[in-house]
Amino acid sequence: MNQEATPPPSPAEAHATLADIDRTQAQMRSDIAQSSVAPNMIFAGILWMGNLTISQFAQAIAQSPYGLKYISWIFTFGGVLGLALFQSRQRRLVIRHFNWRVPVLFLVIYGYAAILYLVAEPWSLLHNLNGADQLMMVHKKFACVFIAVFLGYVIMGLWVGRFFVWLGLLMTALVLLGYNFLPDYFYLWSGVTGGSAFILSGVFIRKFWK
Amino acid sequence: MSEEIAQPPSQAEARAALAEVDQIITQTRLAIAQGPSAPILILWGGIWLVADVTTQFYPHALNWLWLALDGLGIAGTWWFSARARVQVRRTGLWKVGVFWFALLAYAMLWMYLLLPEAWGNIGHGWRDFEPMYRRMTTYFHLVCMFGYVVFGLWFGRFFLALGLVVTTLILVGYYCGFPYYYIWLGVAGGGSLIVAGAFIRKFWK
Repeated sequence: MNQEATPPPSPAEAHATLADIDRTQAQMRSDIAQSSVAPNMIFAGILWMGNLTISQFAQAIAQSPYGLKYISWIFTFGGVLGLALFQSRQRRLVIRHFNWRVPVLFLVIYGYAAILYLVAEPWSLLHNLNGADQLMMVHKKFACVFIAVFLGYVIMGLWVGRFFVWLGLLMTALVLLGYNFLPDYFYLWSGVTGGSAFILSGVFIRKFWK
Repeated sequence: MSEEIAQPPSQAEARAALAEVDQIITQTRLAIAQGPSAPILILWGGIWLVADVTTQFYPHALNWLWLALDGLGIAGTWWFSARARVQVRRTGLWKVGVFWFALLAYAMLWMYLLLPEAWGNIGHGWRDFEPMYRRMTTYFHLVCMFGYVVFGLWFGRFFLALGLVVTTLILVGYYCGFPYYYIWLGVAGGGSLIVAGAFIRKFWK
């Protein structure tokens, strides 16, 4: 590939860029510190500890193995409710440099974690792993890897450009489509969609970001 | 907790803040475009395409093809990166590389937990059910820690370090089969949130 040599940034240019980044980060940190994020995190940490401690002794508490699930759910639901109440009591603060990327980042990560969980279907393997269709297991692994790659696209896209967010989401949908509805042509489908996503990304960067 | 109400930004202040963010994004894009990312992406796209299309028609190739092509991809990535090194070095791009490395490492852990290789005969009692619950709980905890690592890459190394330390603690607990594993998870995971909240309050104000 023909690349034109670009002059390296001057020390002043590099210094100015770093200063810009530092200033923006410092402002954002200060905004986060002044908001209710910190007490909410502390509250959520206490909930987390409580929930897991219940899980530790769930065997004794719940007679059925699935009883644990309900105890955890009740605790989690109560916690979320408490968190909402706690949040509503906080004074409303003005976020000067609200960075929407932070909440979206965590939403994306948890959303994709749920998708991976649904694709892997560990609960269906629980009683039947040894009898599971081996081809389906390989498909599950491939689908999970592809989805993880496109999670990377979406996260990177939050910082560098929405094109990658949309491409990542579209490709995730296509992988799920192929996995669920085209099992006989899953590799072909994944190869064409996944491979072309990478090629398209490279071409896009070359064409529009220079 | 006592909190001061921050003053709303003036229009000029808000505009300046947005302009700064735009400028940084533009600089990052330019740095990516001038680096080796584009040819590396195209290379891996070609590898992905060839590997999957071949697997579709020759499923037995699955055993060696991906390995061989991955080797080719790694060599190609190294070559493009080495070429780019003599052209330009820009700040902050290491984060992109570390991000992808972290994503792949966590994805491997997630897959190991979600898709066990062998499971044995399972009954319906808690004793049989608990190991799967343990796996799933560990999986969701590691997802949270991946969030910490990514957040830490862009917003503060403290979170990066915290995510990695807690990930290590979780894995130690999981592999050592501690009898009080859930309490261990609760202290490590919940404790990380409490420490993070306290850190923000103390150092980011």
